[in-house]
Amino acid sequence: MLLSSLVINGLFTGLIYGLIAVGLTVIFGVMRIINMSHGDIVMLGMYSAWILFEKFGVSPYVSMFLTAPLFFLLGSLIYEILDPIPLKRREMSSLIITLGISFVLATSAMLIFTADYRTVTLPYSQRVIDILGTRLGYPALISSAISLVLMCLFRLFLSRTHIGRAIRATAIDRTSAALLGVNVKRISQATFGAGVVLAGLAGGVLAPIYYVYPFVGSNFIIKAFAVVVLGGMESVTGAIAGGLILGVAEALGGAFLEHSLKDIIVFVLFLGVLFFRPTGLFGGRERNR
Amino acid sequence: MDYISPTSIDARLAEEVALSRNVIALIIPFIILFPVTASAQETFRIGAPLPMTGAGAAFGEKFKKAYTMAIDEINAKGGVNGRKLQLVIDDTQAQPPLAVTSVKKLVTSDNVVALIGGWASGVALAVAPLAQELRTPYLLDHPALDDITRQGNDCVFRLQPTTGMYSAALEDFLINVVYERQKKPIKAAYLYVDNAFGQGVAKYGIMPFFKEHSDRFVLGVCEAYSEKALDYKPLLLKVKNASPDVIIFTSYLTDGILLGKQAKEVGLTAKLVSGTGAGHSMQDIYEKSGGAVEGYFSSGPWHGDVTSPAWKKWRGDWEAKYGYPPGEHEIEGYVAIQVLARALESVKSRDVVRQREELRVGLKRTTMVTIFGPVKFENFDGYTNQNRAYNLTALGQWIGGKLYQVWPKRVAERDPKY
Amino acid sequence: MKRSSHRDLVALLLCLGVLSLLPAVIDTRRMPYLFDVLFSVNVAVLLASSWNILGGFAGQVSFGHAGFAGIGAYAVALLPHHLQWSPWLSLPFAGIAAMIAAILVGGIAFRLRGPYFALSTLALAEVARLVVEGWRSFTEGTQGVVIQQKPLYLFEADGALFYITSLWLAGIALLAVITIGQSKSRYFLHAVGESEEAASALGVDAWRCKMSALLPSAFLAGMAGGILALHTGFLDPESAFSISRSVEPIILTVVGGIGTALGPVVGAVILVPACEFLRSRFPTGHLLLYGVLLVVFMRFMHGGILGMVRRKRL
Repeated sequence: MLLSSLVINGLFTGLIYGLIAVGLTVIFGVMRIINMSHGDIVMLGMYSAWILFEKFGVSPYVSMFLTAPLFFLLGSLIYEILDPIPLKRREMSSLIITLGISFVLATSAMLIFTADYRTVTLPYSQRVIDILGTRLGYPALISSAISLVLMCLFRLFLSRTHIGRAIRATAIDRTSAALLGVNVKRISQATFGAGVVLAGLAGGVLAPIYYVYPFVGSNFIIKAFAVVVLGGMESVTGAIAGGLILGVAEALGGAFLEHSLKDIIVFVLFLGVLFFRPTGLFGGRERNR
Repeated sequence: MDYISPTSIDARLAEEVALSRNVIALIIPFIILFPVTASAQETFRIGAPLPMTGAGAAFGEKFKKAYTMAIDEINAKGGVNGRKLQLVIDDTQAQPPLAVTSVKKLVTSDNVVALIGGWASGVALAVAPLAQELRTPYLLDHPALDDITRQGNDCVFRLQPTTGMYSAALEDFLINVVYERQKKPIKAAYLYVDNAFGQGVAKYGIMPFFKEHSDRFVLGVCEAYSEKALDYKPLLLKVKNASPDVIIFTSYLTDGILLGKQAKEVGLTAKLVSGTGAGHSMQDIYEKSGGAVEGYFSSGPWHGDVTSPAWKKWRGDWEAKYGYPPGEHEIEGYVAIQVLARALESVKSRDVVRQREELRVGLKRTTMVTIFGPVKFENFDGYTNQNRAYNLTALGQWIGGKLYQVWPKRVAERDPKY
Repeated sequence: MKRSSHRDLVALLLCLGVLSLLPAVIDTRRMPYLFDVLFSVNVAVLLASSWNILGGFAGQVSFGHAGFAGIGAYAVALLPHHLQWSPWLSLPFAGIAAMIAAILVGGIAFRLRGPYFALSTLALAEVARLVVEGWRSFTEGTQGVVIQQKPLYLFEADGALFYITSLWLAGIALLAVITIGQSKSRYFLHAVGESEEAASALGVDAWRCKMSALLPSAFLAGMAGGILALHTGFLDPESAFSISRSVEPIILTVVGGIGTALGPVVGAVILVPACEFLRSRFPTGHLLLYGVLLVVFMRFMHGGILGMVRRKRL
């Protein structure tokens, strides 16, 4: 009873971890950029959900899709800063640039919204549903369900659409993709936009079940990295699997170890997986550059 | 990645040396010049190392508001001894290493006469010995860990109760009401946030209590939890499995909100659920958990005699100025400035070093009654310059969206719902 | 040793000697804040140079230097705490403890490449933090440890002592960087960083090669953490292992010029005072300005400051 509750809980939380990580994965896959501002974009997603709920009463589950174009624009803009940097140097300099952007986003949020903690309390936030003897709140359930759907849709987008295929081709080999007529710059920009949109959506999904303040991004970033690496850095399927594994590991760790030490399980598992599969569960061979 | 080609390394290195010499030569004057400030001042400067950015920024902002309000009021009446008070805030990000640099800047460059605040216990532990070394009075208004005033520093003063005192009213209630009613051993569970504050309340307050009264209380699940987790349900399920009669939390705000909401979600209930001040005493926790903490108790620093006219007037002023009701942080910050202002009355010299010594003596002599309660800094039981605040804890209960003081009887606003 | 290395050594010693005289010219008691900032610069040079040995020369980008610094810091805090030693005497053990940890890290993480290596060092640093937080009876957990800054024999533990110690530690780091930069192993490190397979095919023991960069790097990072903890007088796991401490040396090195011996020095000398200046002038908005500074710097000087200046010259 306790065990099944823990596992179910872990799976639901894991879906949300997965969504947070997918955007990071796709940006890394195509551009080999570790986006240090990812957590802060999630924070922006949470704030936009909060403000639309507070001012206009729009549910975060709706408003997250309304604001998505803005996040795409933000992603494209960030890409414009990174684009002129020669590829050879982009890996390290983009790390610092996205870190700088992270400082800018967090501090701007603080100056605009103040540092107070905010939450979104939906009318049905206290309603509970029973799944196989496990009680789950409506918001947690809806957030996890939306995360799952979004990740599956994104996976389909990558495999079924023309742009999706171009993105994957660029991820595998930039030069060949360019030779085959893919506009690598446009595709990279679109990918960065998509990654940022996914982060924004993750913010929308988190808003009703977590709290938001300007520096909340740092609460997720390490976990998001763990999920990305666990799954293999370029694989969307891997990010989903990584999220689920992390969620369950954390739930079990929280119950059987002291709660504050639960992350030891997470990181030991993480290192264990890398020990046997040095490029993560679904990752390909790390290319030699 | 930008590697130098290995073949020309010596030439490159020599070139680098030349280049950096130029760069460094440009920078050094800038470093040497920048901390210089004038020292002649007609005001009393008060230095506040506070978290203005980072995870604690919300609390830094609360104290900034409280200090500003108190200082504005005092200055409107002409200041102290004809001099105005001036607040100098420095951002510590709640990081002890930064706080140390901050304090050196405040004391030696801004020439503050006193230090105040700090918010986090870790910061205060680093600042206290430094304040002592720099002979600058440091008035603590919030960092609660007992150890801070147990190091014999005569420049360090604390106005509010220590972590060990937070739970005093709750313990009293548990023995005199809860146990008396049930008359048989009571199963308890205790969850506390894993940081200096949580460890302090556990080590100096709750754990010794349960150890001492193990004939009446059985402490089952008892563990520290991490502050920034997304999901507390595994932990709460574990508590639910043990079905305790009494659940005690020691939480900050955000974790308190999530614990409240998720306890509802997993259906965790008990005869008595209580927090120990901090998050559970803040108005935010009720609103931001969507009322999930209705019926919770909270044992923490006294919010003052909330029934007195002076307190009600102050509350009205606060709400008029800032638009929300004040909680424990706001009262602590506001009163701390009042205490400093009172002690500054005995400061007569013009030299800041002498002023600090006079202020220290002044603080030591201060006896006053504030809206927060009586303030007098005493040495007792290993504490130095600690306000005897045992009587300054009270048990509140969230009833209908408001935290009412319900225990001890003499300051209760209404009867507890238990 | 080649003649040029003698010349560098002399230049370095001369610089250190001159800078060591600063406390004699300016009274540290009157300007402790100035010496605090200079101390921060020295520690930043130390930490960034240590990162540069591994990340710049050997091409192994680490996100976990906070782990080494944190372990070093705890060595300095716990030895006096349990054995009543002088904290100053336990300073060397900061480096040694970090080096012991590094052997473990190398064993686990050197199988991994590129970003996998980077993020596994981050995970290892987190594990170290969690162990320190969980082992309360030994480390005091999240409550933290107070370090008594007992005087070092005749000296007083004041700003001058911290300044000079950190200065010479930074000097040792630079010496290590220069030595590695001029030794034969420099080429091996470079080759392994570029392509491990190719280097292995030519008979280079890649693991040993990377280890030879990791050990001094960890030692120096441990010393940085140790002296910083000693200076703060208090240590808690959150600040000791904070991710920003892993990130700081990366920022300084990349902004200064990655893989160059003096890049970290330039980065630290410019950015640390700039950061401190912004923080003291704009208590709420400083990170915004710092962020803009970083973006602008890197957008227009991708190769770091030294790379930029060098290109202008050519």
